[in-house]
Amino acid sequence: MTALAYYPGCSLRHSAEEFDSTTRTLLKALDIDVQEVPDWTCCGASPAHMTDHLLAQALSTRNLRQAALISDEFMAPCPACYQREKNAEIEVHADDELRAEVNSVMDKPYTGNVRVYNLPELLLEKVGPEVIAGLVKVDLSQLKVVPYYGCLLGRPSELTGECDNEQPMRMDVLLEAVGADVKWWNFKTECCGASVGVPKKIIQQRLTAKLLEQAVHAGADAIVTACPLCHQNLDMRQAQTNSALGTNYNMPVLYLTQVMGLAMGFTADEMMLEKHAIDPRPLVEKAIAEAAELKAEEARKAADKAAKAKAKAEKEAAEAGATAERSAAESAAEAPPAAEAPQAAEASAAPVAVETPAPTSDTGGTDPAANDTEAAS
Amino acid sequence: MIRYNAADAASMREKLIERAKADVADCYQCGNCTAGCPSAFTFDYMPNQVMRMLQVGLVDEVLASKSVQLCIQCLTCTARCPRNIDIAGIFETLKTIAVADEVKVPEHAATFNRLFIDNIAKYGRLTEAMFLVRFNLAAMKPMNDADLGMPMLSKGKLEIVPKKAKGADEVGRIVRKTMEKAK
Repeated sequence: MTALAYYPGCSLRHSAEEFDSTTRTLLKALDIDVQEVPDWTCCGASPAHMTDHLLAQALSTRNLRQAALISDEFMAPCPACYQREKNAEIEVHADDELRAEVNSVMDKPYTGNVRVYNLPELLLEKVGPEVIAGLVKVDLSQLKVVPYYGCLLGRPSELTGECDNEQPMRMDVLLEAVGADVKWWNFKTECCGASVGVPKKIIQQRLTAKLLEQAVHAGADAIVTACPLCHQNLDMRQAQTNSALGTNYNMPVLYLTQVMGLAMGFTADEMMLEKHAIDPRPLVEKAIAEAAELKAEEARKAADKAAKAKAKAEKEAAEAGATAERSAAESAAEAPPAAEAPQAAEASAAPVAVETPAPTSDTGGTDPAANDTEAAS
Repeated sequence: MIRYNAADAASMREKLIERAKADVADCYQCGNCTAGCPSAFTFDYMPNQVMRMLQVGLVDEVLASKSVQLCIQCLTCTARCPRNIDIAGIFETLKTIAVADEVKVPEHAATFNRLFIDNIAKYGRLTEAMFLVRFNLAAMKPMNDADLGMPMLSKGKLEIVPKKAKGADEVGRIVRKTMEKAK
């Protein structure tokens, strides 16, 4: 299998370097062979397509041409880059006239047929949720998260291949596969305002605050995203949003790759959690500790239950034996049918156990309902 | 008094059909686009009003509006339009027409876009910190996002010395050629 052409994009070089690094780590752990697009340049998102159509398509197509040197498959973790490259793929491959026009402004023509993937799509298609679930080493069942897709991973679904414009599912499926507690919310694709974060702050602040509020309402302790621009808005600008709007949010924002990596046994350092403005480490540590505690508690309960069942069986066997002996000794002619004896013993054992522990058992109680009452009190 | 302009309406409609593959005449004013628009609260005309203005030929007003500049291209309107009109595509095309026609536009979004493209035309890849400083100077907001400087620096997220990418020269040529063609 040839390597997949990997396109980091400008944000992943510096402001979102942890997304780049954790994506590469994850892909390696999943045996997806990647190679960086040789001499890649900016895809032009978002300014180019708002400036000139041919400019936008040429900037993106240049990267497809470079990718074609090493592969016919291309993946951009950044949804903004993905959206531009996918757009170029669709338009240029379908329209020979446009391809010729684009080629006329580039140094060398693009003649290839490269397919563009986004990150969740790639993980689901090349690996799949079953295999990913099989690689889980750390229990994240106590990590309550909402998946945040933003504008460009889901919309428009004809382009992204998602199941729905409003309720995309790929990140949900991946997060559930690694065992996180995925909360349902209706803000998966609500815009966070990233594209105007710099020139028009008020839009970004209002939208970011709305998302944080809704994540809290959904019962989440963290937001999971796969977009460096959304991450910057929700995490790096959370303090700005708080001070501008008088709110007091302190919600960690994790990358999809970080959550998946943590579940697969990578450390917080390897997942570069220290890079975020809102430190997610205390939350992650707490969730992992809680899950371990819960597991230990369950194991203890199961052991208790097994011990009780064993004690009960022994007691019943002893009582049944005694009754049988007694009846046999007292009167052979008037003996009751043998089957009645254990039933009578069982019926009388249950109410007794609730009040006074049976001498053969540590904690007593043969009735499961009685056990639950004890545990609850 | 505002007069409708059938000639302007017709020529803009044709341009949008060709470039955005969307027909403004399909709009029946349900208002779904406006209801879902996350940045409409900063607009001077609501998205459905822009659609109506295009239908009746108020093209100059639309091109010089805040609405076109502050559309954040989240594509919500396109996804929800019951008439299947690519409204975000229309707004995108209006932005490009405003650039090509050198329309004097409000807000700083166009400046942001221009300086971004200047930056990649020179370096090939966006040099984030340098671009931000240049934008702040152009927008006369020197302290914009200054509070992010220290945290980003301490987390190793700032590129202090911008480097030129290997394909930068070609990107510069692409920008020059396409912008000449657009004029």
